[in-house]
Amino acid sequence: MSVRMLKALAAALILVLPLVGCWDTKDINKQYLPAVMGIGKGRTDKYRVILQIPNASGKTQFLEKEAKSISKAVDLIRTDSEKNINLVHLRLLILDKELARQGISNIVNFAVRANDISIKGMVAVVDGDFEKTLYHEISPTPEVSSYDFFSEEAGWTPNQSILRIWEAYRGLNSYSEDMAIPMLSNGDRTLFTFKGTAVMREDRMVGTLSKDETLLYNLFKGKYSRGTIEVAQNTSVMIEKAKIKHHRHWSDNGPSLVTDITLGVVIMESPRDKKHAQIEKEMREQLSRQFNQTVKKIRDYHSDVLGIGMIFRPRLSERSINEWKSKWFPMLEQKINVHVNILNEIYLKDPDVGS
Amino acid sequence: MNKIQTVTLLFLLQLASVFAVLPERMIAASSGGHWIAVTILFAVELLLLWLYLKALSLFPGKTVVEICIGAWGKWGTRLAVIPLLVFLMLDLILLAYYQSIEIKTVLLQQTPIAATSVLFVFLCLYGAWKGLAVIIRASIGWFFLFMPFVLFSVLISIKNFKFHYMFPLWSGSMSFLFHPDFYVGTVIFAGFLFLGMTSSETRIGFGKAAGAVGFSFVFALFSVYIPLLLFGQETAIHLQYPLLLASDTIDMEWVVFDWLPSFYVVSSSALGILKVSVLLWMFVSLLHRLFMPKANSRWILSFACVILYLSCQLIPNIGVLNSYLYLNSYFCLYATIVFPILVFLAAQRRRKKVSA
Repeated sequence: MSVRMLKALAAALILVLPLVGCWDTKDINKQYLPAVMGIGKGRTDKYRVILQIPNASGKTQFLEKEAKSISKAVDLIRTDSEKNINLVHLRLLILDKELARQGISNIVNFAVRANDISIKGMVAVVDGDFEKTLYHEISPTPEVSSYDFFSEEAGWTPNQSILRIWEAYRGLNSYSEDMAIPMLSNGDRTLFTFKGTAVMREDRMVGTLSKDETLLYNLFKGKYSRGTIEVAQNTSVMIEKAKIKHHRHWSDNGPSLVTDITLGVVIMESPRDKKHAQIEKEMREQLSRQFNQTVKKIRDYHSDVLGIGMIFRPRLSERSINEWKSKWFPMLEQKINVHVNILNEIYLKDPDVGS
Repeated sequence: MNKIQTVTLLFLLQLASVFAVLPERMIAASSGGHWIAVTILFAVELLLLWLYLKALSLFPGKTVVEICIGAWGKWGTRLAVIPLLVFLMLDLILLAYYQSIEIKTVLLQQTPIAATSVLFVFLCLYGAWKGLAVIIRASIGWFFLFMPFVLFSVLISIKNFKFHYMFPLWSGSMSFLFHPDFYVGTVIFAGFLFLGMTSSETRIGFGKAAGAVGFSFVFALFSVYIPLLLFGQETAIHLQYPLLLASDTIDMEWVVFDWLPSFYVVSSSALGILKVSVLLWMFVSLLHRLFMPKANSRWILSFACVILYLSCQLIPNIGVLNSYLYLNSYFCLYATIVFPILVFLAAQRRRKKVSA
């Protein structure tokens, strides 16, 4: 054999090396890829884990186990299932309200720690019957997934709040904000209905915001576009844009914040002769009242769910940031002023202008 | 043309260490005002780079080893180089292990490190076998292949930034100077050591080298501030791979690949291979030149690779890796701070001798 042949043979053998990538590989048709994980209170053990696995025929398969820890429950499911269970495509983590009341830090830590779960998955709380919501199926339409409900590129609207696993993990640790989790229950014709937002203090659920109150939360988070607000009988507007300006003050009595919200709206429905100026006034009064009530409600929960700490963070020293939630936030004075700007981007004129 | 290639290699080596150590260590070392720590690191690096290149420019065509031999003789040079060799070997092992474990964590969870590190060490062996001249030429290809991925995975998370997490910008204390993690960050200096061992036609001046370092400084700031702006200091401090997780926070349906961190892992491992190859080549050629001039350098290289592979298997877990990293930072400080100064002094002394 010539040297050249030997070299070629050696080169061919080297091609074996990339095969290490196939170590312990499992075929995709031998795997279950759950899209939704439900974690509830167990009847006998601490956790009850339900996995929803969509399959190619458009149906959903359900697997469930109970155990003292989540990973053990998944392991038990794996033991009994015919195929391997791979969590890489898990997109939605649904928690029981009871668990959320007791604290979710273990669950969120598990989701971040497990390196097969992507931290961009979303978190929701079931408000209502946990089992019924998790086992809810609508007539098989393969293209509808429970994940689309939250997707900003699919069915999300500004009435809904949204929380991802990494944001939940940040909310657990952050000195200057708390998190809010969307609440769901099973729908009649749809997979879910949105019930409002769970307000968290650190890792515990302390209260709720209704659908309307969620709007303020989304405004503070910068997510507002295309939400519809009902002003009065037969009158509703759509928010086109929102400008938020915070005026921070720090006096001896602690921090105070005045927020100016300027909403650019388009009138969608209104009675025939109602003037724009009147709609504007009604809306301003109504929203001011509503927003300030919401702010008061949130303050009574002692939860910085709007992230006011983030607004003050540039002005605080490292020590005051650490003390924000315990010392400064309870002293906060907050007020919201609403301004409304009616954008005339529709086909009808203002009745006021013509006459 | 050759100079551009050298500058590119310097930049990529800087980037390799920046991605491997900087975000995690800087976030651990300092609780606010991270840019101060990063800036101090790079300012010190520029100073050392200047000393090193100044010494080299006095003797065009000679490597650092030859300059040192001329000044202190063979034994003096050997003594000066031994800690450097220890640093190189330790750094090689730690880097190879770190990259293998990153691949295992993110891409191949079932695959044992023994299997992934075979491939890793083999690629580095191939690089070092071909020699520095080839690595320098390959760096251009590396640059065009992986820089788009690096930029993509680093910048895509911009949508989720919360800029207020940047604060406090000024922590008021320099306490990070007493934190061991800060000194682990000095391994980024190791990128410029190879400049003293290139042949004369690929040698670059301080201006160009400073440009490469300056450019990598921008990336260093990115690498530290991206996890901070997403998670905040109080959360990021718990994360083992802050920058990697930062690229996992993106949810965009138009991105074909669901698992964006794989881009980051692939590009950072490619940079890791480049760095390990260069360090391996330096290690072998120093050993060959000073200690075993009779042995065939390729045998030394193969032997070093076997040791590298076996040592990777012997590290039981990432906690042990950390303790070795702290230990290695002493050698690193020698190799990257004392050694360039020694070379500078040797060059000054040699010049006096020549002119006298």
